Amino acid sequence: MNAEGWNRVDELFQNAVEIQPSDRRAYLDKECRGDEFLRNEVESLLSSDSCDWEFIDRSALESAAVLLADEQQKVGHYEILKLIGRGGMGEVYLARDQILNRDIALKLLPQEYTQDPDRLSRFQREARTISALNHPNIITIYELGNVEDQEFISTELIEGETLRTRLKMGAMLIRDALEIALQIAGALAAAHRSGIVHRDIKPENIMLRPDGYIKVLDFGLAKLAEQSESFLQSTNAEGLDMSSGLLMGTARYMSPEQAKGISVDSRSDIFSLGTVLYEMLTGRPPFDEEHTATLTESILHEDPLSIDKLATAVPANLVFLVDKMLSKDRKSRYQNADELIKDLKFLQKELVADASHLESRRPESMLGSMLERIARWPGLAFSLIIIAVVLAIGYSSFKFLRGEAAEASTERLLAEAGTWTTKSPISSPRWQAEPAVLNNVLYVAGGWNVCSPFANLESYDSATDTWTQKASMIRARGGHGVAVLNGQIYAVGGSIDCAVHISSVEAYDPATDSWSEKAPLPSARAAHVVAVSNGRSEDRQVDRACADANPAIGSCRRGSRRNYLCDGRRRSVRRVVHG
Amino acid sequence: MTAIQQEITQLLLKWSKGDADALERLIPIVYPELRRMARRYMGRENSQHTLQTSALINEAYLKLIDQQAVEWQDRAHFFAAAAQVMRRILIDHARRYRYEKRGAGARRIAIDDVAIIADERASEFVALDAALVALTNLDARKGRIVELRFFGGLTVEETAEVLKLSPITIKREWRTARAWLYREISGENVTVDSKL
Repeated sequence: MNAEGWNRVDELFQNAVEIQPSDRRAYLDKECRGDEFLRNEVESLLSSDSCDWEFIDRSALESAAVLLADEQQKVGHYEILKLIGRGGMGEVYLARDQILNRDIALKLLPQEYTQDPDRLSRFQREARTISALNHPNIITIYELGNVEDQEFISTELIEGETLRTRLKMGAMLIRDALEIALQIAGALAAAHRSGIVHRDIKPENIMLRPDGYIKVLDFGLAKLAEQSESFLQSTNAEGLDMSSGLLMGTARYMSPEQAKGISVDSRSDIFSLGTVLYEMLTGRPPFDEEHTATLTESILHEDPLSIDKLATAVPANLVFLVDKMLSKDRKSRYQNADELIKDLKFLQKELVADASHLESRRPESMLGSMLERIARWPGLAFSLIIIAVVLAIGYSSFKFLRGEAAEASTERLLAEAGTWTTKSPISSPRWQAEPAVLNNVLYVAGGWNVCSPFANLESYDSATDTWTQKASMIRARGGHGVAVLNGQIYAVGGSIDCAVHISSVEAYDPATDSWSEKAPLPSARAAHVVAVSNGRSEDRQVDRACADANPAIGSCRRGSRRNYLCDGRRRSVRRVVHG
Repeated sequence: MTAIQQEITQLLLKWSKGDADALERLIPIVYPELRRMARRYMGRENSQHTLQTSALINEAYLKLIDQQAVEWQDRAHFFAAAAQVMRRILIDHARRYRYEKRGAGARRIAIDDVAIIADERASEFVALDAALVALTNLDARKGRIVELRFFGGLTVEETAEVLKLSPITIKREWRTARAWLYREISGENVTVDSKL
């Protein structure tokens, strides 16, 4: 078609579309005057004109975005399969690792957070540290990488739902909430020991696996975002729109320190976990103002409604625990996650005990009243914490220190889930040695090798993973009881031979690195458990000793060491008073 | 103002003034930026596979181009150049996409809706490009209007400004061009799904 012919077609088409479709035939009859080619041209264009064709009506970039995004389904050796989550810290995709042939989660970090190389490398350092912890409650990082300036993190793929999703169904059972909080606290404790603060504990960052495992996501990412924002603001005069909405999800769970914008430490995570626990128990966050300004105000100055006002059958101890976590002043909170773990476990046990012993619901229940006193009587908290430590460490250590395999190694229980890491060994193989924790130092005293008892005491420095010899006990013994009381370690009873039990009691003073003889037990015993508690009597500190070697104390059974304290409330154990 | 913006702007200006090499240096810079933007917008609207067109295009121009550095009289050249760069990049991309998908033993099968839609879009792009070459041969002005509006993402008013025509004329010409292209592509038996 020549230009003239085309101009004619164009003209007729443009005129025809302006008139009613019903009048077009007459118009073309008149204009084409029997020129069938011209008429066909115009009519076919009119017919095309009436077709929907969204592709051309959108811009090319819009259509291409699908294409461009689809090609992005490969990042390095990962093939992106689908989007599984999206948050302020980037999108998360289900992806396939084509080298190892496994499905992984791939997080693409937003560019605005990765522009500053110093901060990025700091984040990567933290990520490496976290990944080296190999903690069962911390998501496993497979790779940190960069493809075409796109920073990405590949991690294990976690089946299950986020706590946020779970919370849409409302408040949870106290039992479930405690278990989740405990696992999160376990992850935090491990991270904090490595000097890493999460900074963004919130339901979106907690994954619940169907098998009951909790995984904490996004360690250190919040710091990257936080710093990048100030970085951007200081370098971009026009300023990106850092509207309140962007950080809103996080703001609800932030600590007063974060709200003030001052430097944060591990206690900030304790607060945030407190807000999460609060929400698990009540179904709503403690601070839920709509606007950032009022939200910040609440976090800084207002006490949330007590959880027992929003949920039923909440034990007083749990109210106390949550309140303590949510203290505005970080000095009044749990000072570290380990302290929190101890109380959470305490509560868990109490809950189990309450469920099995209806009578123990009465307020005079020993553990209940003890825990209540923590609030009024800070001095007591210390000894209670020590009990919990002895219970926790003693129980786990029991497995290997008293185990039949007399290997000269010690291991640390990383989590209830049962992950062990090998630590440096104690001086010589032994069994029935007793551990104790005093001033946050682990001690091991005595024990036997075959039937020769040890007198030595060794202390363990977790920072350097080394053992140091301390003053030996006056009497060598194994299978004795150990407890910490008034800043000293007590070695109680035990045996000096495979068959000879003793009643001797001695105490170790770390200040002088020496042992001193104390009043002996009324009767010799070994393989027993010693605990410290406040008694009902005027003497506030008593030892409760119980020997499974002694048939006179019938309610104590071998293998039920954990229950001894619970049994104690039924006063079935003998009380031994030390001055 | 980032270094990338400055570089892209300078290269576009050079190219619009006749420096052919500028295009070769432009594409490797613009292309990854476009991909990143596209992915982010896709991410946001993923469930519907739809996009906020104006947001994407605004961001593309804002992020890629230092508009204040472009003199008023250069704007026409400048946007025409930008539209051509966009066309070149998108069409090349669509061709490679189809090649990777269908040639060389089919990289992978369509695994989800995005992949299916992307495959269809890639075919449409390639067909449109061929049809647009034919249209430009027949009627160069209509070819430019399509390039500016479709590939450049310009509005009717902006296109009118660049081509120094009235918006009414742009609308009328666009309508003919659109019908012609549709007929051309359908005539080649390329499926154009009206629902897309």
